[in-house]
Amino acid sequence: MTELDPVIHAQARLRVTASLAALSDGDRMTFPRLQELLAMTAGNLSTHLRKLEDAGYVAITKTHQRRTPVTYVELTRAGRRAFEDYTAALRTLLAPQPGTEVGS
Amino acid sequence: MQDPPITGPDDDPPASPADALAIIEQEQARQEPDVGPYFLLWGVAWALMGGAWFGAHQGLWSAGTAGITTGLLVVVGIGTSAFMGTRIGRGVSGPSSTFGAMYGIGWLIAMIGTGALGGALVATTGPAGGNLIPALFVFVVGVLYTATGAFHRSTFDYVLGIVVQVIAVVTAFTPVPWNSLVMGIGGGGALIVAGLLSRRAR
Repeated sequence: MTELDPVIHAQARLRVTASLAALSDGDRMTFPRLQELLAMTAGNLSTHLRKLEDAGYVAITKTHQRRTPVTYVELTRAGRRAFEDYTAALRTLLAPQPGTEVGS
Repeated sequence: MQDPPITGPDDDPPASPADALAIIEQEQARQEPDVGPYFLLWGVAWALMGGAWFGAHQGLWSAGTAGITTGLLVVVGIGTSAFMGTRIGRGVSGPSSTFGAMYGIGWLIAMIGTGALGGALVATTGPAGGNLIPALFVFVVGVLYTATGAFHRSTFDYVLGIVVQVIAVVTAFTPVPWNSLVMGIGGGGALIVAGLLSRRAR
């Protein structure tokens, strides 16, 4: 049985990871924009981001644009890799198992 | 203000691998830039420009009125496109926002350059050369769409670019005043159809 990464395999974190993985390499997204895309509350999103951050999948950068504080979120290299592995594992689970195919 | 509702139980895993894959596809599709409005905007603008020049050639209004209408449509179109471009990339920072801005500015430079070449054409050949200006603009737009399609691996943009280039060449060989209609109805129509198809695909 293919193991699915438990950090990603929760609906909220899967949505967060999938959204961040859609960004090009090196791109990062502001917290409010991510929150808007996912329609999650700030508290809920923070909780899940913390779990992803603890696993080393997400990097959070706090910076300033002019005088306004901005929080950026991005997938780390390990996070992108974990997401790719997770997606590959899903596809393996969904692929027809050898021996179960009906011969033509 | 109240926060938007949380969608679905947070920590529960998706019901099945197929559901997990569907969640991934849904979230990633949400971030695909919606280019349909650009096509619709410029399709309508081209159709109005073509109509304005056709009407001027028919004596319904002056060439000056058609020229002012065209100028206004171009300014409004560029302003609206720039605004939509910043909306699409909002909240994202990094290489793609830099290249997105370069892409938008690249279009602006190409359009200004084409306008200048059109001016040079009229200066060299006289007012008759001005009849080629719409075709020149349409051709450059077609080339840019084709290049965009190749770069973004979008067959849709690539084919649309070729269609627009063909319309440009047909426009160039169509006598006045019908060339304005070919540009307006053909080019504008192609962009409107592209916009509608693009909206339907979302």
